[in-house]
Amino acid sequence: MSGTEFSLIPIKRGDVQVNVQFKKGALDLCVIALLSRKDCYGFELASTVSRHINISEGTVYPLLKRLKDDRLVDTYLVESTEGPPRKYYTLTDEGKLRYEALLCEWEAFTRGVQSIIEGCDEA
Amino acid sequence: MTYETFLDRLRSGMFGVPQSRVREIEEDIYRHFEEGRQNGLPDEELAAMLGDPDELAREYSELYGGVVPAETQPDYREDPDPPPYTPGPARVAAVSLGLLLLSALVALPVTALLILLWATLAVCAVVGAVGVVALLLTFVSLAIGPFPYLNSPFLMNLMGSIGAIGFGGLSALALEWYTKKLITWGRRYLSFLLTAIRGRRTNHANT
Repeated sequence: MSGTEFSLIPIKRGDVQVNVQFKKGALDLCVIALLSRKDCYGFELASTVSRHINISEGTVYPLLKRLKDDRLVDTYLVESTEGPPRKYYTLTDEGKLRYEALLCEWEAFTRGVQSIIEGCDEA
Repeated sequence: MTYETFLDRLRSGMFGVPQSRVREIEEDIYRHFEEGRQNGLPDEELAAMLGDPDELAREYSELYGGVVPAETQPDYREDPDPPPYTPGPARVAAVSLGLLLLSALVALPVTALLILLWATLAVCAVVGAVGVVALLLTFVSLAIGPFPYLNSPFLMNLMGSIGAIGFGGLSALALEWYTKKLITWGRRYLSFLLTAIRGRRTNHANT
C-alpha cells in the first residue's frame, strides 16, 4: 500500500453507512498488507490504518478477531518494559497466500473502476 | 470519555457475544489503551480515536452474536422463555376426533372388562363379609341354641363360613390393589388425552 489517502467528500448522515462499508471492504487488505511487512501490536496497527484512512481505530479489532478466527493471522506476546506484555499480530502462511490473492483482486478491481470513471470503453 | 466509560458502553452494547469472547475483546481494548498511553496519548484522545463504543459493540455482536440488535432494544436477548405454544383449532379438532375414535374402539371395551373384573372381586369380597356374619351366627347358635334359619349341621356351617372368610379376605385384598390400579390407569389415560389435545410444548414446537 503506497499510503493511499481516501479523499472524503463531505457526506450527509444517510450516506455514512455506505462509505463505512466501502472502507471496511478495503480494510482487510490494508491490515494484511501492513502485517505482510512486519508484525505489529494492536495500537500500532490501528493507529497506522487510521492515519491513512479516515476510519475509527476500533474497527480494526473486530477485523483482527475475524482474521485470527480464519487463521490468517496469529498472535504472540512480547514482554514490554513499559507496561503489560504486548500482543503482536503476525501473518500466517495462509494469510500470506490470501494477501497475494487479495492484492491481485484489488488491482484488477481498481483498474476496472478507474477505467469506468475515465470512460475508456465509451469510444 | 475515560477508559472505564468506553469499556462500560462497549460491554452493555454487546448482545449474544459469548463470555469468553467478551473477555478477549475487553483485553484487546485494555491493551490498546495501555499501548496508547505508552505512546504518550491521553485516555480521552484514545477513546475518541477508537470511535463510538456502541458502534463497535454492534460490530462484535454481528461477528459473534449472530444477532444484529436494533438501535435500542436492550432486552432483546434477555427473555429466554419462548412464547407459549397454542395449537390451532384445526389441530385440536383432528386430535379430538382421533382420540374419540380411540376411546370408543379400544378404551371403552377395555374399561368395561376391567370394571367387570372389579365387580367380580367386589362380589367375592362381600361373600367374605357375609361369611364373618355366618360364622358369628354359627357360634351364637352353638351357645344359645339353634336359630330357626340355621338348620344345617354345625360343622358344615363352620367350615363354609371359614372358607368364605378366607376367600373373601383374599378377594378384598385383590380388590383394594386393583381399585388403586384402576384409578391410576384412568388418571394416566385422562392426562394422555389432555396432553394430546393441548399439544406438547417443546423447544422447536413454536418455530
